[in-house]
Amino acid sequence: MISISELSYAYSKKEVLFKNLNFNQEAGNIVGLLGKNGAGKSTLLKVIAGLLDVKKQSVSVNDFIPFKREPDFLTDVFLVTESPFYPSLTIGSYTKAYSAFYKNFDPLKMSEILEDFELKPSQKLSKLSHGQQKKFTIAFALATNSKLLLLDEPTNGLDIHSKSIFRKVLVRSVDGDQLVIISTHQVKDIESIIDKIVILDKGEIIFEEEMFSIVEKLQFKRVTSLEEKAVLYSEKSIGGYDVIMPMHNDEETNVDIELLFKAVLDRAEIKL
Amino acid sequence: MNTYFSWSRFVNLLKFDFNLNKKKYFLAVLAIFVLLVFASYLVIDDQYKINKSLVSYYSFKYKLSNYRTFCAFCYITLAAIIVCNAFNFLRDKRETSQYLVLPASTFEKFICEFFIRIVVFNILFVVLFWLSFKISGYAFVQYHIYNPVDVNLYRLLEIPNFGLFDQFKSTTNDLDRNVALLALFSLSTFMLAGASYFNKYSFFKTILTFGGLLLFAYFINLATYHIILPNKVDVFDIEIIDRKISDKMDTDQLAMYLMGAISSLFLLPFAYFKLKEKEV
Repeated sequence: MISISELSYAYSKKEVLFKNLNFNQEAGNIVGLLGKNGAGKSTLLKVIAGLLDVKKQSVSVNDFIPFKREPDFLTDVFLVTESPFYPSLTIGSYTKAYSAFYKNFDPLKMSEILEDFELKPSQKLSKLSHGQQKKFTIAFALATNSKLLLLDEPTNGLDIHSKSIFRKVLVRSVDGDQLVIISTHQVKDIESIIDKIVILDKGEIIFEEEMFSIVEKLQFKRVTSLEEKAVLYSEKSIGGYDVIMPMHNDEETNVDIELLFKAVLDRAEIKL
Repeated sequence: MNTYFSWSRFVNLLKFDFNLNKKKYFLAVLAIFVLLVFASYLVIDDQYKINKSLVSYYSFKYKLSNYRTFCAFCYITLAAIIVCNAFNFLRDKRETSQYLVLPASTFEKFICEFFIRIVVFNILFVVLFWLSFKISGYAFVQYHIYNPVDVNLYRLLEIPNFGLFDQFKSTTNDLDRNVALLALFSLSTFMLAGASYFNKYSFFKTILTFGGLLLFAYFINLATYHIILPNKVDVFDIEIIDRKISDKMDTDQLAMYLMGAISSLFLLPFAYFKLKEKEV
């Protein structure tokens, strides 16, 4: 679905972002694209959506060259930017005008998600709070049934309750032939829904693993002391240490993405 | 599905644009109409005062030539404002992102702006100008009937019954008229190109660029004259040399015709490719 090889991109001669980046993803996954601010997450999403010209480099999405912005390509890709534009229209009329461009748009799905998010079609977009506006865009993105959904910081501005609904709605709405890429630095928000983690740092992919592989090979625990334990990474916490250890006793633990994220960024030796 | 143009997608795009901007468009039409009514009234009144100062007992007849000059002035001013502000979505980064990934081809997006800002504007302008002039003329006559400076004067006020397309009627020859119209079209395409090229402050930047290009052309001419024909130039004053091509046309006339009429053939593709290359 997405095939990027040896991508180099720079905003200016002095500001190089990607150097020989390889990024390949297939349908049927929800991928968490994690990284600190300025790591290049949003830029990568823009390259995939066709908003940035990478000249003649090898970038292919659904067998299209994104920057050509052909209608058949655009109708199957939906990008939710960090701060989308909201005109002075009601949810209902905006949906009616906008949905005409998406051949697989499902109005029933849209109204169900709007209901989950407690939004009404009569509400004016420009008068909604930032969080409500975000919820509308997420609802619309999911209702388009686009093969590729690119969500840039989707949980920014959402309250705790809405974040939980977002996770439920996302898991329920996505089919096996879709690929969802969620870019965020709020790693906790998406830990229960992603199938794959990609960590980007300084324009480089420094970690890329399937969740099941992490669950099979690593353990995430809180221990009182670090003695006699084969710890890959540890962090001081209340009453002891949060640690990442290699799997032993076949005891599966919940993945602590935040801890894994910190470990990867601290360049801890985590090999699966 | 056609990659470059699909009628249904184009109609969807027009509907989308109208839904998003209908309030803005309605207010713009209203503002243009009110402005034209006031401007027309002032122009008629001004002409009346000039005539009145020239002769003590006169017949005030508004001439078609006055109407045409005023019409061209209004058209250029309004076209500059309307067309320079085309591709409105480029003024805001968030809007740009959304519009560029809207599932329609760049060509359809370009044609949509061309249609609204040039085709629709031109049609509306002809109607609004004619209507506003009629209303102003009527108001002017009515005012002078009820407020006569001289009891006999109002009988002598006459605003001719200009037709909708009278400003397009030729005064000299048809070629001049056609070239003048094409030159106005080229001017509009220059503004469209400016609107596509500049993201922010497109109006001011396009006007400045236009002025800059004129100055550039003048200085290039000046330098060339100083080098090749120094006896035909006096520091900044160029003596244009022209030759007769036929009984009806000179070389300088032909040059103006070509520049005025054909530049749109370059400017329209320029505007399209600038839109196609937009990044966020």
